[in-house]
Amino acid sequence: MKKVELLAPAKDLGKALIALRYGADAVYVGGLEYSLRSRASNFTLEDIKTLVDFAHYYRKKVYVTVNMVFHDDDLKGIVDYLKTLEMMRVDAVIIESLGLMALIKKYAPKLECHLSTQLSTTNSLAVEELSKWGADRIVLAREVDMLSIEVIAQRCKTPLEVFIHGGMCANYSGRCTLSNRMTNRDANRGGCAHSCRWNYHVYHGTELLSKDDLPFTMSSYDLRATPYIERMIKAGVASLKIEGRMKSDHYIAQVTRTYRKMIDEIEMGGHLDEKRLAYYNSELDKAENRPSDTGFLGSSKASELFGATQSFVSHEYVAMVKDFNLSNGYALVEVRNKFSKGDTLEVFGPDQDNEQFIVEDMFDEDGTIEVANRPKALIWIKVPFLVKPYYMLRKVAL
Amino acid sequence: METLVTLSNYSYLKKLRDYGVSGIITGSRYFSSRYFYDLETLKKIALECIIYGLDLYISIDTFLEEKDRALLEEYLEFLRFLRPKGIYFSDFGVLHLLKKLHFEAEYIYAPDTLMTNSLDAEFCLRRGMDRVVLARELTIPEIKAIAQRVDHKVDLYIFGYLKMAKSKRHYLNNYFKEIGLDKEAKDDLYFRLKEYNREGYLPILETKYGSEIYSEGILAAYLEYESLSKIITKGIVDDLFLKEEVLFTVLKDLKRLNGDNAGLLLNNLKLRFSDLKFDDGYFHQKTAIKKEDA
Ligand code: SF4
Repeated sequence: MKKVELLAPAKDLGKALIALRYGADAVYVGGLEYSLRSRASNFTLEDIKTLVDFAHYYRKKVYVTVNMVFHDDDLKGIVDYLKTLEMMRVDAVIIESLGLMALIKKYAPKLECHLSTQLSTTNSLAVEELSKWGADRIVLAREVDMLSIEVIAQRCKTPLEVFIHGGMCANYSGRCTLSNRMTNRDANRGGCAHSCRWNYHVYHGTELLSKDDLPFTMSSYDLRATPYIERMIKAGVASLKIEGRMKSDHYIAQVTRTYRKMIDEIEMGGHLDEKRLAYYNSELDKAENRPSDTGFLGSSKASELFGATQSFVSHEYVAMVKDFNLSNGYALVEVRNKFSKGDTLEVFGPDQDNEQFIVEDMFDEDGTIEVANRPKALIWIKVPFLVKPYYMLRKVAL
Repeated sequence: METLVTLSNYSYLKKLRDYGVSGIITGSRYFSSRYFYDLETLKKIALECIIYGLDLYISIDTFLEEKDRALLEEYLEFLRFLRPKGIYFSDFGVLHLLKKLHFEAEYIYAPDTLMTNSLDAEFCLRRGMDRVVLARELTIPEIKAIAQRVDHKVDLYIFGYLKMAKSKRHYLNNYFKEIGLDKEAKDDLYFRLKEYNREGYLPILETKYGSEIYSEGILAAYLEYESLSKIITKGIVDDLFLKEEVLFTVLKDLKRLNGDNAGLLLNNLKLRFSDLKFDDGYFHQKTAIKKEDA
């Protein structure tokens, strides 16, 4: 079985390092320009360089999204940018523009070209055509079902990347201008106003059909492909991609770690039975805050579920470990959300399974505290076992 | 600039010729998200196009599913006998098959939102495509720049509701199921959406392939027509959701439009169909990249 890559998103350097520490084989990030999510990105060229050096040291990879649907004016300076990325040894760029692919092959040929899901590649014939033109990897459309992925993987040599987790555009990626038209914000150039999630009345002629207590919306469930990971790996999919460049440190860590463990278990020859799947799903519940399903992967109508407006979080992220004093058993943590003495916290880390403890003692520079509620404050907290930097603490809802 | 009209109503054919249209774009229930003709009707349309001297273009605008590869091949073999002048497609799998089958026709790439710059247009023309359809989200200077770079081998929508979204989801039927309403949405042209806080009704069409949503306003490139006609090879009038009267008024206007009468004709159109909202799309409004700029 070929080793599959776990690919995680990151909106800034901190999150990218978390993703890599928590088990991603590669991360994809957007620069301050030319990226569809430039609004959500905080990567300067210097940050990208730092990230590449860190990732390569651990034999991991960095992909940079250059996936804005360009208008001519947006292309100014692009060649220099691509050359710089190549010089920094970025492993690949994720692009939508085929014209850009031609430029890359000419001016920055060491950069691999991964063709974005915005091209809506749904079949092996399209994969073949795009490969002929130079694509090094193709990100399949989220609308492709599992059986088709298997067949495409069998028919095509070009590595395939498949989304396994996170938000989904209600419409085909890149083929939606609701936001452009309704708010003048270009979804294909990083300005999406999520107009698909708004409420709409439905009329047939002049007859109003929709109900105000359950208005029409296009909002879709998030994707969670857990039941299909084993088949994807066995089919030879090259990369399993997590979506969520807007998400928190905790989300990135928890989702990445869960899929890491899942992939490792499968690659070690394990078959995931119902019980194991339930376990992994319960782990993902700790990060998730929107209802999920398997999208278009199954032939069922799961993809068609209507309206995803509820939200829940089963475990609230409260702090990240910065240091641990072995001699007295106190951890220095950075507070993210409120927690109190007496709360049950769960600790997890890149190499640490979930372990729980009750908060018995904590203090800051002014002395003992009962409640930790100042975001970013550094406090000491008694932990009855060894913890390391980058471990995370979350509150268990009892 | 020649005028092409999408053909949603078969009975218009002869009249279209009389109104100076050079060709039609149409399709069938197969691999099309908006045409409902069966193959027999498509044959008749092809025949009548020959009789009336209209160019026939076929649109294949769905994204091909792996299981439908053989079916697409059969469909293309069928189309071969209709001798279409060109095929509009949005999936490179279709192009791959066209080339493999040595299908003799113009290959026209129509990816809706994605054709927004000269680099991509040039790339496509160098890879064996004959023309590209520009995105609707372009300003006039952007359109001109692309057209000039690729020797005017571009098509452009000049009239009609603007497509805003394409989804594999069956939005309306899912919703009706959820609220327990016994209503079928498939292939019905009379559904509209209205956002809670905005004016305007958005036509939505659901077919077996999913849903498409269109703009509340109708693009009417009257004032821009003269300058566009010098740089665009084919101007497309999209008849979807349009009443016959509107369509033929516009076609009549296009025949006589010039720099002097464009404003007058546009005003007359607006007065005559005052229940409709006509606009100039994105021709004079660049969309913002970031929230702050909007
Ligand atoms: S409005 Fe919704 S479907 Fe459209 S681009 Fe934005 S998130 Fe995607």
